Amino acid sequence: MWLYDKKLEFPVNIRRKDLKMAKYIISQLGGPEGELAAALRYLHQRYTMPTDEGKALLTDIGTEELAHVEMIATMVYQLTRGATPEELKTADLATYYTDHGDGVYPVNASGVPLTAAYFSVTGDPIADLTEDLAAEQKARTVYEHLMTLTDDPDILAPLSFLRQREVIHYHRFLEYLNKIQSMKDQFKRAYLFFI
Amino acid sequence: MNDNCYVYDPSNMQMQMPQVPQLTDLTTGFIRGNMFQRLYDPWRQGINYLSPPSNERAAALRKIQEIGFAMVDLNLYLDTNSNDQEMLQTYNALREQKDQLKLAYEQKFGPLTLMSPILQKYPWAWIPGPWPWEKEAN
Repeated sequence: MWLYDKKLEFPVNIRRKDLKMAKYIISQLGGPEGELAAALRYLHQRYTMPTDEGKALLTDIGTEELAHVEMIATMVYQLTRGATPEELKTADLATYYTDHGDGVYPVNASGVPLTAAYFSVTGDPIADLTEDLAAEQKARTVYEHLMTLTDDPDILAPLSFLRQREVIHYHRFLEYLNKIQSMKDQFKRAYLFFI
Repeated sequence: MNDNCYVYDPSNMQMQMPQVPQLTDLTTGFIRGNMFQRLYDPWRQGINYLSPPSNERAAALRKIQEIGFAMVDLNLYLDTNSNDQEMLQTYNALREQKDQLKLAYEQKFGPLTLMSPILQKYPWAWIPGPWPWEKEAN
């Protein structure tokens, strides 16, 4: 069950239309390292976490990712308001416009729609958490790439915030992975002792 | 672009939580997207900027967003550090502060959640915008 909070996690108020940036930023909505894939990844992996601590962590980070989905979609929405078909053509967005008009649809920067193949659920906590660490680092890198493509502070502020969140999530996943690794080692030692 | 210094100087890399984590003030933590003062120093710093609020309503919302963000960050910290009693107290102090601010905001500008006591008002107060993705809401 989720409860909607009628506000963004971090304000997005982009005053200047920028179709090129919209085309790039949309990758963090529907792309392989995007926020929607991240939310789906954690919210599906959480069922088989071995301890309650892991179930809590993946539920809470997955939930925060949903708030990031909303921020990125908001950025795309605001960056594209009032665009004419001519402007969309120039920004290489005519193909997007053909299928989606001025709506917000999860695709990557090349226009490929989101797919569940962007993440995996193995049922093995070590494998799943190792994927999560990689996912956070890859998303951080994409944010850094996006930050080099613009100098508009209205765009940079939310990108910088989201980039930092990837770093925090990475560290929390790492703390938890270290914990269950050492639990596993202790268990192995106890088991060998009794043989 | 690869100027995250951990790449070049592993000795700078602080991968583990310091013993006593120190929190930043609410506004700084909010702008950074990170409430923990000394943690993650080696990562390249972002920019310290926030777009100005577009109106009085958005300005009032910023306070709630700040506290709400601190609570999200402390929530994740407590998930992996559940024995930190001091942090637990900070979390609850923030929650009380947020409840008060939220009530004042909702009385003036409308409900933030479907649990809001403001929804007793007639007609149904949930509908009116601006919705969060609109510029006027930020």
